[in-house]
Amino acid sequence: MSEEETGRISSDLLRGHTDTIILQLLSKKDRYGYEVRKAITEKTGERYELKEATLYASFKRLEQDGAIASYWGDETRGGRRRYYTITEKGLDLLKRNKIDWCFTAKIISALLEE
Amino acid sequence: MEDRIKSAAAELFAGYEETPQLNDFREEVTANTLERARDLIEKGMGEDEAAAKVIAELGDLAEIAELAGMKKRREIISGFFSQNKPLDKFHAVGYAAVTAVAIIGIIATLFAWGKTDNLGTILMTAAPFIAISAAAYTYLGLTQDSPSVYPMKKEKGLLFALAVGLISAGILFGAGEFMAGISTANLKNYDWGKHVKSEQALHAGRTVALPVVIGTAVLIYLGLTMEDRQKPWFKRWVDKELSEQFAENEKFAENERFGLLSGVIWISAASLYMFIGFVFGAWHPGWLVFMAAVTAQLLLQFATSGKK
Repeated sequence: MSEEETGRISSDLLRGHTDTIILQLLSKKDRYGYEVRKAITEKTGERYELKEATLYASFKRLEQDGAIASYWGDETRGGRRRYYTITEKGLDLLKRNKIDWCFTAKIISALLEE
Repeated sequence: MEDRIKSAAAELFAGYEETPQLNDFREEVTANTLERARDLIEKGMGEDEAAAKVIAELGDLAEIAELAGMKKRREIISGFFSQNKPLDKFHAVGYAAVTAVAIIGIIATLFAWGKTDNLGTILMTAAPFIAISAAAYTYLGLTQDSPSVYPMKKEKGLLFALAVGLISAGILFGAGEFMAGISTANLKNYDWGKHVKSEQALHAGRTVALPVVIGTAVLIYLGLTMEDRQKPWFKRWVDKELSEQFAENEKFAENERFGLLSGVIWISAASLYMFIGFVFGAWHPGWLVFMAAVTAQLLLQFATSGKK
């Protein structure tokens, strides 16, 4: 990706894959909301910042679909954190979405080839 | 800064009727937002600037409240308490499994009852089922996320379950041992006076004593290290609505501790009474234990009220 330092990220395109990105992050370990947001900012070298609304909407959607589950952390000082964890269903969804994305990327690249 | 962010978060959801889900969502957002503000300050931003930035970022969250189906709902306030959130998989499976164990226990006990008239055997059949399901129910109940109280830490829940399991197992197995060989048919004209002084009663007393003492010690430890598990919205609600009528209700952890320690006092008194009675046959001066328990209860009341 380093060859395109001058490029800009298409937020629309990325937003469509928020669920998959979150699932990928949760597949490594359980995380709470702000932690996910921070991880995305860091992973993209601060080139992309996820909006709060997008993040929470994604959590709600994924939780309703049973792809992730949530639980309260143990913190007693300050606010309690709500942690999210990926389910079996979520892992399946992640796998499928990754395959679909690779396929899509290949097709689009082929179409845009000069 | 904290107060500013908290009130901004509260304002954000002000248009919606408070449901358990909305309350949880607000706490989640508040905790995350506070942490983000702290991070910004750490990076060199001023407190006011950081607070303003994170509050501005919260702006579009109200949409989510709608998206998540938290729209204003007409529900009486009592709904808070009765309306539980959907169970997570672990608890759903857990409750079903424990209920199955309890039902199997009941069937096994009834079966034993039909087969034998030996009271001890019947009690011994029921004992493991009752002890296991009591402990498991305790664990599941305490670690469940409820609308008003955060779940207890897993390790603490396990300790609680252990204490409940030990105490109930001790009492039930002890009772089973005590009743061993006694037929259900001649309960009425049985010579109890002789039986309580027998070797068998002594053994039964010993069976009761150790697990009950250990279980009680665990309960005392848990009582002393009890922490406040009330959710912030519930605390606020209690403060607002109940502070006048039930001033004592404000201190949830303290009350929980008080209840637990009171329980410990009476369980100890009862088991000590039985121990003295069965082992030494001293039922008569033994009852003084209960006078001591009353005194302990009063002292406990005095100690806890003195703190406020």
